Amino acid sequence: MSKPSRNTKTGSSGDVLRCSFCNKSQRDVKKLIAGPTVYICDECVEICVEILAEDGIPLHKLIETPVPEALVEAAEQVTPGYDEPKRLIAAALIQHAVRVAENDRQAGLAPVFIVGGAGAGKSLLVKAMVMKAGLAMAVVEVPLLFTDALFKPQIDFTDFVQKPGVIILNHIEAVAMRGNRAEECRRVQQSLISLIDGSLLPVANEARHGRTNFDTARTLFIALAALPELQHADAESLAMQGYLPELVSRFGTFIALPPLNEEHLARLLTREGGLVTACTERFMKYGMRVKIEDSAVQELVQLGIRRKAGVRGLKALVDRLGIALACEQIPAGQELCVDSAYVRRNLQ
Amino acid sequence: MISSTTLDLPEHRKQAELACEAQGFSPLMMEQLGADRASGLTRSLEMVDSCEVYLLILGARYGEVPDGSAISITEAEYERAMARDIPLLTFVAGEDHPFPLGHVETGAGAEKLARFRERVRKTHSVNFFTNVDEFRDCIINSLTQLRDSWRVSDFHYVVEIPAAPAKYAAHPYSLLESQCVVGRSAELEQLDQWIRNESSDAGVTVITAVGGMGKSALTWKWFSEMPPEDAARFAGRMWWSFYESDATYENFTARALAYVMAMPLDEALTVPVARREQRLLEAFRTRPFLLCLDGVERILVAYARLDPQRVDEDELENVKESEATRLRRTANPDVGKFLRKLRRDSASRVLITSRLYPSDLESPAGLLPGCQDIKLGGLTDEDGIELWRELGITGDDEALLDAVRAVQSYPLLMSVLAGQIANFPAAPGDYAKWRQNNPSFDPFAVHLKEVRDKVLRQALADLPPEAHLVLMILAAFRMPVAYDILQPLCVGGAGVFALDSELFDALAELRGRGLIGWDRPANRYDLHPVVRRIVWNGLQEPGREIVFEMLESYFDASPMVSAVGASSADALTPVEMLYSTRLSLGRHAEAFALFRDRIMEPLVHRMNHYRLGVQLLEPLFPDGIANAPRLADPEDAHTATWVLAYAYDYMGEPSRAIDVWRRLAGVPGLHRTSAMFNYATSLWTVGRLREAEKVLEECVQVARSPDKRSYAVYRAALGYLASTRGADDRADELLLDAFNAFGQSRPINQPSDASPLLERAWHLLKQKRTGEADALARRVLGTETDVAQVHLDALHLQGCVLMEEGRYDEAQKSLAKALSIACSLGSEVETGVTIRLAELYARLGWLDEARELLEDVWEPLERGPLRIWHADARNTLAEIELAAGRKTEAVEAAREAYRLAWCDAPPYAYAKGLECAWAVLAACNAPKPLVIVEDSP
Repeated sequence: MSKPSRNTKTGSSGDVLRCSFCNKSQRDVKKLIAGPTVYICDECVEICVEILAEDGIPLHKLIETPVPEALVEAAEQVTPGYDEPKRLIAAALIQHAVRVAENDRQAGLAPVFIVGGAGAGKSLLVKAMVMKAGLAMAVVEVPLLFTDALFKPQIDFTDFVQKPGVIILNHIEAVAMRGNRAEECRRVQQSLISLIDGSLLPVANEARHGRTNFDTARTLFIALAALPELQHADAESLAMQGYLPELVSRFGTFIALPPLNEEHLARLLTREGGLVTACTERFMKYGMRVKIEDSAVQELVQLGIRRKAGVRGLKALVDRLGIALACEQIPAGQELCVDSAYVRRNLQ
Repeated sequence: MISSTTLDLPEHRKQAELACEAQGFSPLMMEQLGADRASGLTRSLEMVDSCEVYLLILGARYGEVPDGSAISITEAEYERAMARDIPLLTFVAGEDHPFPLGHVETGAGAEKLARFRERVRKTHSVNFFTNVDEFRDCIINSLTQLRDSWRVSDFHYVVEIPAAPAKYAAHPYSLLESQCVVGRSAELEQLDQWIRNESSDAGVTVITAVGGMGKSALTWKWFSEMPPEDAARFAGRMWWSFYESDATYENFTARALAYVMAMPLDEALTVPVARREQRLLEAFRTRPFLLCLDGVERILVAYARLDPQRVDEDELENVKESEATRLRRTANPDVGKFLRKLRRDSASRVLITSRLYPSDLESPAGLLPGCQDIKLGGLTDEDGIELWRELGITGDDEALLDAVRAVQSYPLLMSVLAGQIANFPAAPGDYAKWRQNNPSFDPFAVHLKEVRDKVLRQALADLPPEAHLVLMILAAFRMPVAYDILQPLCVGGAGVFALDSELFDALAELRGRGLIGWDRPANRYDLHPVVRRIVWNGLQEPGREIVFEMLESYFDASPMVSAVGASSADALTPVEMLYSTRLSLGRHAEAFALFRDRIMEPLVHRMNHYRLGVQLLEPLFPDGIANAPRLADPEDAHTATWVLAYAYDYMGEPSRAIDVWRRLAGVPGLHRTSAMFNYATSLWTVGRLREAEKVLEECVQVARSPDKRSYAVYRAALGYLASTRGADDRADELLLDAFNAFGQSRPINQPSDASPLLERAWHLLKQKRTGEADALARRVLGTETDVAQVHLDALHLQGCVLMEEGRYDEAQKSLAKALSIACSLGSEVETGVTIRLAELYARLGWLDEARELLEDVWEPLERGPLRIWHADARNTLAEIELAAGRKTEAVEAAREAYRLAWCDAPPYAYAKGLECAWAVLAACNAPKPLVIVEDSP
């Protein structure tokens, strides 16, 4: 006696719906859209879009042009300070969006190079602004390119087919040609040049979407480098840091983020939704009452300044404080007050 | 290479050596040259030629100038390093660095030194230091910058496989540094005798003890320090630790096979797991190997979960006996099967350490023959005192004995307590004074676990905050942590330390206190499981959340293998770590997105690791699997539930799948009937025939249109169920109807697609219409499909048809082929095919072989439970015993078969099962057994 065989996949064939155009089952496509009596799959939709494009019919409506103030405001939510850099980034994003949306054949804006200390908040800032601008976004961790993993693993470029996009080249400092990896760094920098000049990249799932590509020439590249020693960024100073002149000369905008001052760090801690509030709320969630006094905030700020901590560094200090607090036995119903002495005792 | 003069810089060189080792470099130093000074220069230069990084330290001396040379050995080394153009780090003592007068070179030497310093200063970016501490910070930070911080860190420590008989320690015991093995002579002697006594029938020795008693340390000492004459008894010796992140059973079989058969690992990996097992068993049976399996509790049901490090041993002790037996069983029945086989007729010896004795190696009567259990207790008084002294604790014997007894001779506690006493500033290492100064220390609790918790908590309370912090980060992992992972987590931007030297200090502090172990060659750190649990329990929820967030941001930014690229379960470890971290943060949706996009396809669908899939998915159902998962998106919730149920079924545990299918069957929508159908199948498998039929009838009702494929599938299943319970007329009608509805050719995309053909064929076979059944099996085998399960089902059927026709050779071939596919698929059909093979062997008169085959199926049949097959297996055993003339055993087996086949009582009983059982009972003149109603499921 054997046993009956089962349905192994979600939905047996009997229940499976099929695309009315290509007859592929819903299991074999990414999305199946139902009409009153017919179905169409994502792949057929793409083909239709391509046909329309060939006939000069606009493929996608223009994205709503974002307002620079809105982008700056979005960035402010993430990191205080950096007023001028924020304006420059906002202007670049808007110019790029308008430029690409107005003309389907036009290349994207010249790339932007941003330098700042490690943990200065570069990445958070740029991501927040790109998202606010409603652009497609992908983050390429440049150091991973050493392993020849160029765009294969985890980046989904699907949105880039539909709207103007930004590729963030994160940690580009890792490929500055220095030391014994100079040759490898050169190779990666050269591959970045080809990418900026224009390469056809397949969208995420090669097997399923092999015929769909997008041209990186129509993308805005924003490179982020942790080079705290660089007070001023331009093509020449970057070439001195180990970048190929032919790579840096492709960048049109250079922005250097200055270190955050006391006021900025204090705002990061105390503003609404800031690090201090987040910390006390975290404890409150578990029924523990913690009060971080002003003297403790001042101590954290001073510690941050001494350690040249950026956004990330300050968060690390607060996290460390949080862990120390989580080892305390806070009696039920009582509040634990954190003062400057507590901070000094646990963080120095 | 560390290059400097030695007289003036002994402490600096020591610090440089430690810093190099802590960062994963293996320092070359002239101290390693020994006394062969004649060729000092030549050999020093050879060292420079073989190094990858050159470190120059200039102090107060120019150093020895060899005869015939104008420059010192140090400067010559420096020139050679320059010529080689390798990374060069330079450290120069400042003018105000104090040196003892006798160590400061004067005269010509001083002039040469000044010139050399100037030359170095002009050529390089020099690190100046004014004392040893500054030097230490400089060197740690310089080495960190030199290291490629973006190097992809492996979670798994991979050791090259040596050629046997050289010993193969796949995972060296990394906690050894914190676990002095002192004494234990009785146990070591017992182990020695075990291998020396060739007539001993104990093939398997299990060392059991609570965590921290020193099982692994003892076993490792015995394994690694085995005298040559004992080692020579073995064709090879292998050590495997299940505490490691890559220590899956599949990986074990591959590495063990590569070692035992002296084949490349890549080749071993291509061999299916079941075949690896067979080849290993054959090798272990014929050649004497020693296999040490450390931390076997990790693969038992109690610990086989995503966070084994959080299992509370104390809770395990408070469960009922039947539950305890279940918890002590191996989570993967194949492992239990493998261990059971190893103990029999084997030339080899297997040593297991485990907190719990695996119930696979026992029966209700006690330990299985061929197994022995050594229960490890505390140290003897003498050993305890010796250990104290070894750990640097001073005092008279009486005081030390008091201390030994205070911690109940528990080695882990002794080493942790020794760490505290050694750090007592007023009198380092003096127990009496320490005790005097710590009146609150009162470990004399009644229960060992209370003592343990007290001592460990006190040790943690004494820690500096930085060290405590590192300990908590280490405790968040479930495996040893490489420095390459720890460093970016702790230092810099998002880390808790600004400087590497702070991390370095914290780790040194923890090592010194016996709280962590350092695996020097792999540069990894680990906590003892007991310490890990206490540390973690001492951190309240908000703190755990912060630690998990740190881990999450680290893993999120780490490179991970794509779903397409993953070729083995251990390649998915970083993804799994991120997955479990997100789960710990309560971010179920993001965790599941990771599972869906990165893990599901390779792990469950491609590699058939159903069990691991279940381990990953179950935490998504914190309210129990009968309830909905914590996923807001209905599609995600549905997929998670479906894959969980599917995995339960395929790992051979349909009873667990039933509740899940039932819930899915109640969810309106596109997949409802599919879920109902699978629900019915699981009910059928566990013998709940009445409910199965009801659900199938509902399926047919829902799939009303006769031309739909599902209509044919559901009708066929209903017909097959009728055939099972002996309603042959109804079965004829339904199966023919389904067959006609199926039509001539349909694509076969999943196993159930072929069911209208196969299930009719099984029914025809039951009616002895073998020709027609064979034709249908051939038709399915001839259909183009990439669904291996369909081939497996068809071969299974064909084997049975051929057996019925008496074509035993061909039947054996078909069944063997089916078995091989079932093993590679990890399919529960393996059990069904094995029963069929046993039946074939019985018909061929190979009774012992048949009985042996059945030995493998009892456990999965009970675990499932797979009631219908269980009835078949008991009937086959009954026939074997009858043929062997053992009537009592035959009657016993037939009665059990009869009870199992009874199911929901006729007409919802397994008709053929009852019939076969009754035939044996009748042949033995035994009455029909009484079936107690409660026996029915």
